[in-house]
Amino acid sequence: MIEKMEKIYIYSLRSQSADVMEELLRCGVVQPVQTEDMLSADAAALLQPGESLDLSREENLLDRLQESLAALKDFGKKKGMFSKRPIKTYEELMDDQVLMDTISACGKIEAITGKISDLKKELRKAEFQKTSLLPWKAFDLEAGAMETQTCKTLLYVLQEPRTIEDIRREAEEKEVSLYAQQVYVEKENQYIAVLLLKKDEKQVKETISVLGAREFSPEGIEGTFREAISGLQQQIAGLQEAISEQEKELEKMAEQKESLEMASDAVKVRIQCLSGHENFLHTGKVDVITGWIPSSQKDAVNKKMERYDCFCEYKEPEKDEDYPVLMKNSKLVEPFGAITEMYSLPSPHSIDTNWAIGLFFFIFFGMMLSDAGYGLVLLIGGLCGAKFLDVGDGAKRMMRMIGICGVSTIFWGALYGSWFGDVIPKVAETFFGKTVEIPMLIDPLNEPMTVLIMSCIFGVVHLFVGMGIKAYIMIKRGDKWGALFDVGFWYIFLIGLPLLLTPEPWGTVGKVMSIVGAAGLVLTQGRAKPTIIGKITSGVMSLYDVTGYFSDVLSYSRILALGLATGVVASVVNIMGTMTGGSVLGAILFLVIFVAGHLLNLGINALGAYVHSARLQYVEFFGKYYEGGGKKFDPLKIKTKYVNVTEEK
Amino acid sequence: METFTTLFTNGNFYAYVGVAIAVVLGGMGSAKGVGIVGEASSGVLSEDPEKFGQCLVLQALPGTQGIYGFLIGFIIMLNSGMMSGDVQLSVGTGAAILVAALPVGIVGLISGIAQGRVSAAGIKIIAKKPDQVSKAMVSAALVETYAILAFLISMLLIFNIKM
Repeated sequence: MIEKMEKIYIYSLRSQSADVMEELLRCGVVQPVQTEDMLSADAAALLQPGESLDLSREENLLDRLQESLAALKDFGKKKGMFSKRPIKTYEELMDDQVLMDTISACGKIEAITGKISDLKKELRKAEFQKTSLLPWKAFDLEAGAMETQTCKTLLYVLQEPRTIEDIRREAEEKEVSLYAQQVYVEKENQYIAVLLLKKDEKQVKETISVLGAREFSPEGIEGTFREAISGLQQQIAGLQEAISEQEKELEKMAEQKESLEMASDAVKVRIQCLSGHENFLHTGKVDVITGWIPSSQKDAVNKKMERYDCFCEYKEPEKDEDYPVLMKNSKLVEPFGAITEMYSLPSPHSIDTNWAIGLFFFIFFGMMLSDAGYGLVLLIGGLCGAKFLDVGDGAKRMMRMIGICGVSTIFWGALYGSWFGDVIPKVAETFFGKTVEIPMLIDPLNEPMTVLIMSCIFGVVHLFVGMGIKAYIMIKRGDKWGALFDVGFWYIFLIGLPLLLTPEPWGTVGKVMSIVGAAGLVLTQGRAKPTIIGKITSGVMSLYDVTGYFSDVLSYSRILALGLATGVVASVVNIMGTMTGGSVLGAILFLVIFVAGHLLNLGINALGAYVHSARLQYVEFFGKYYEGGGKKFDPLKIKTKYVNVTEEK
Repeated sequence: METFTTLFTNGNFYAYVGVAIAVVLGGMGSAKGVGIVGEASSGVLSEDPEKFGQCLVLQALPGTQGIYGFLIGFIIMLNSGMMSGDVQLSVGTGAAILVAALPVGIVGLISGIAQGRVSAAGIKIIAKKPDQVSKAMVSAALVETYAILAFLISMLLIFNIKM
């Protein structure tokens, strides 16, 4: 059922409107809307535009908290799959003292991370220096002693295909005297020391640079290269130690993680409260806070608002006005709302048909997966997951839906005698040498036609329910004759057609029904057309729609196909598992193949069953009546990431 | 004497070709389809590795054609006695099996690739609006309808061949 919505206007003193917003946030049942959209233009013109509040302080704080949390990511105890978020009351979450303490912890973490990043920068520099010096390790002249009064040693890195011989030959051609020695070779680089007379320096440099050699300057190095390298190594080791010390400090801060997470949630809630202020117009002294509220929640909000100096007013929406859609259903039907929402929410002026969608999704999913063993896994997994995992409302809802569908899967699986395929007879035969019969009503492998016909009958029921809903909507809107023309005649016609094929006396009944239905359709389907010829043509043409119904019904044959696919793959897994025979090794292999194979089959076929059941709703079912386009009711409510907020513990 | 031409008067040969066609063509379609989606999803994963689960679901969708082909191949093997090595099929039966394997093979090849392309386009939905991924799944499932229909026909044909 679609909840009735009303407009709420709260006139609150400007000094109190932040508190009022906070109260609304805690109620979580009001969707704020711009005041302009809810007032007449004349009234809105009298009011002053709202201004947005400055949130930079809160946003800055949130950024800092998030960064600190990111720094602590690798420390502290890990959250397992089953760990739940801590439960806090709103007061505990928003406690200012806790927030202050946390901010100071945040400052400490920032100081440590700052130090670490400085140390890391230094470390990188030292490492770079070390790698650039390493090739020169064998050069045993002290860096300070590479120059005398008349001589000088230069260091060069020469690249292939040039070799040291090229330097010597060039020097000979240019008639400069030098002594060149290779210090180290690494891949295509050759490290060469050149001894020369100072007076020739310019000439030598020119000669060698022609060959593309790069000069290496030993600036800033004390002692021999070997000494310099070992000095750097010591420096690196020291830096690494300092970093790991700082990281230990950081690890100590990891116990603050929980309060940091709480603080970040608290700041987020604060931002939620303060943002959107610009949407509300004001008179200078009084803010006009406007929004949508479900009629059923009016009293609760009224009671909460008594504490403040404000006045609440409610108005029902105009007849054709669109309001946000909130669907309310029983616990069994509610999870299937996800299927509807995935397509589009119903328009607020239409009706909520989740019961029908849920019912048929339930049946079709079970028929497509149709294995009692898989159903048990889904039922237990889905319901336990929804109960024990802390995964957010959307995922929980999905798990509940899958769990409920597990029941249907067990039912159909038992009907087909399929428990993890034919694992029980197979195991009994291979390991115990006995034959076991599993009771079954229908064997889909031997009687596929029975299942096919059953699938198509379910399809016809599904389509007829869809058409029935269309008739219901039309009648509700006062168009009784339209319901008879557009749905009633189709019912008569579509029931009559298959009856034609049955033996007498039903054949005659079928003949009469088909003729009455067809005549009715020909006479009424063109009623919107202005001319007589137009009426008759579109009346006759409408009979062609019967092909559409035919293909719709055939579409349900996928139920048989997907059911067969699950069953046959499951038995293939069992055949492979029992291939190695009844030995101990065989039993181990069987277990491995059983678990892996059935998990894979369950995964793929549950996905297939989900997608194709949904498709049957969207294409075949919704095509008959659905009026979508509703906007989701999205109330202002506490959204937290790390803690669960409750009103009372 | 057994020559190459005696193959064509041997019913078993046609049945084996049928198995090969169902498995090979269906598998090719799915391999190509799953591959296309995999390529597309690594683009999203490089930005946002947490969307792996959603991408995997879309990537698994075009994988069914290969399974359908495998199933048809397997059912032929079971029903004709290939598993136990004792195959005695007339030319007529063998040829019927071969033809029955064609729908799932050929449609599987084409629809696997087409479904892969739809799913790969759906990966973009994961990148931009991850909460809308189910819509991509449904559009991919629309393509799969035809693979399912072909599978159904192949299956019904093979069940009704007397071997």
